[in-house]
Amino acid sequence: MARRPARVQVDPESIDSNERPPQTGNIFNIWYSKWSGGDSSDRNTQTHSKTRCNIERDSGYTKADKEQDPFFCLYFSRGACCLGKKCEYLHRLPKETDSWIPHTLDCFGREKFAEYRDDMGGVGNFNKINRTLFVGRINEMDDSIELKISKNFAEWGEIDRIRVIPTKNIAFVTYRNELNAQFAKEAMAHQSLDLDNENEILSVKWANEDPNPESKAKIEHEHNLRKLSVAKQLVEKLEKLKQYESEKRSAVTVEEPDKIEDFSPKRQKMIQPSPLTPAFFNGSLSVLSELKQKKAHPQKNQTLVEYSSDDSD
Amino acid sequence: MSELPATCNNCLGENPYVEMIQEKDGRECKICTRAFTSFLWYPKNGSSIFKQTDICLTCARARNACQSCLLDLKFKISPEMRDEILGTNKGLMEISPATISANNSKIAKIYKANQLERNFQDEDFRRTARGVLPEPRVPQVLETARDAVVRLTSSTISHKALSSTSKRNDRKHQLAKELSTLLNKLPFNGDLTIPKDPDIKSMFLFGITDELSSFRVQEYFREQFNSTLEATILNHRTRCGFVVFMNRNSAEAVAESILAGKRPEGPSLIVIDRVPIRVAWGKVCNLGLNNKDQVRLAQLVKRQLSILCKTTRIPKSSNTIAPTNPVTMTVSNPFANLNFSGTEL
Repeated sequence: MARRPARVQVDPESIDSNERPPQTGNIFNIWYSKWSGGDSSDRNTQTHSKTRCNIERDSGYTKADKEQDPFFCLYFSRGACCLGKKCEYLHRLPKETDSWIPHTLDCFGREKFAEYRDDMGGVGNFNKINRTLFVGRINEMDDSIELKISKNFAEWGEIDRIRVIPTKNIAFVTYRNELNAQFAKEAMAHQSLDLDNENEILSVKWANEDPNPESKAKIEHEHNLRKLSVAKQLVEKLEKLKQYESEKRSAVTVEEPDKIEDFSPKRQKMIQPSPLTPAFFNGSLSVLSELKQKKAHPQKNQTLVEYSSDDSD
Repeated sequence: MSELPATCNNCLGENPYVEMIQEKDGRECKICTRAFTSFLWYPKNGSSIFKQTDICLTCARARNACQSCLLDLKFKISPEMRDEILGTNKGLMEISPATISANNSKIAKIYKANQLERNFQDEDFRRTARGVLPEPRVPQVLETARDAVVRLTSSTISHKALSSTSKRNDRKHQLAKELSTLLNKLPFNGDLTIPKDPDIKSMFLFGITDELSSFRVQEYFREQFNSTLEATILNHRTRCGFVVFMNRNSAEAVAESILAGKRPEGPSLIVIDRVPIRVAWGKVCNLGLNNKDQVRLAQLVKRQLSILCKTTRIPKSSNTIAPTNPVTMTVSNPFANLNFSGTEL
């Protein structure tokens, strides 16, 4: 694909910062742009998203491509970034190579928590790698529902598997990569499976673990495989560490005689402790007292004057 | 007394004179929910991306983890993985860090964390009197890690063998007459001769296993036939699915290259990741509405596969089916993983 700048998804002129969603509560929170208080039936407060990301049309390079560890643009995933190539976040799909994102953050740089929210929405959990999304509030379950879901969710990354439960109007979508699941969660929230079907407002959340024993076994198998790869990497790392340590040890034994040759033989005798005695053996004390005596009477012995000056360095 | 964060070198960055912002009781620990002295710093000069400490020193110490990335300080892996692989952190302390779990109430978490902190203080007091305990040597850790690799390799292989051969109690659900309606919809006996209906641009697959991922099917069609798929629908419960092509022409091209000049005798065979799959033209339709129907359909697929296995003769060198795929080259009998005797049903 040719390099091209990211498209400006929304005209900056058209953004009204004072715009409020239809009133559904008593108090308006200007930070989250949401109403709170009053009758907060979830179904009434959700509105269909006005914009939708189109990866083919919108993705491109931004300022973030020059940075070293950038995050993805949240507004881009919702199809509402008004900055285009001036945006400081990435305007493209997450790939498997995007491994700099720490597991305490999601691909948009938002912090994860130790546990899921009660409604399984939000950023998610850093204790578990969850690649599966729950898709709820699907209006119609017709014959082509599997095709529709497959088409809609394949836009945001490689899909591992999809499971549709027609009797409950829900579906589960598993991505190959966790980052793609995070991206898809933002991209498909408040959207509809058919284009501009205002009646359908999908609710996309994190999926709980599948209680089916077969899939449980599969999850355990995957966990074991991951554990195996981590263990293999650990062995490699430790082998390097061991090699490094042994090299350090052998390097010390090699360097020692070279350095000692430079010293006078007398000094060598003094600083080298015997393997049986501790570093400060009694002999060194006697040498020190002897030196003090020699310093007091320097003229007595010429050879020992040299010796003392050598020691004072 | 000034505190210092316990962080790994990766998180600190390369700058040796990293500047940190300290805030007393600045944040809430993500594990034990107590306030702790937080630190914030920029690992790269001139970058707007910052790092900060997410968990308190006590929780970090209990896991031997970095306060920022929550990975093990020495091995840079998650502490849970480290404990599972190396068997560390067992019986180290009365209250293990694992007891502070997400299910605990807030009060329980705080109580346990305080208890841990007290344990650590006692330990520190004893250590200063006795001298620092020696760390486990690298060769020892390496030995345990090697053992873990051997153990895990054997366990993962045995699982794979089990999953492919283990048969659930299939006979619990008796084959019913309603299946015939489903059977009529799906082209189990179809083939890859180009259909008259010009709207059909999808193929019906059956015989997929639970391990086969959607993206693998897409990769297969991209690598083997150089065609991108519009959509793949895999219903793992019923063991069948559809691939939808971008347009009719590419679908026809793929059909021709699968047949490779031979006359079609029933559904053709393709092999993806050692899984033999039958392909025929078919319109996309709903695969089984409820659980029962799905199980029945899966049984039907199995029976159909075994019938096909008996009737169509596979040449000894099955390489002609997919000559370029290195995975299939090594498999002499593509049905080796699947146990269809045919007499079971």
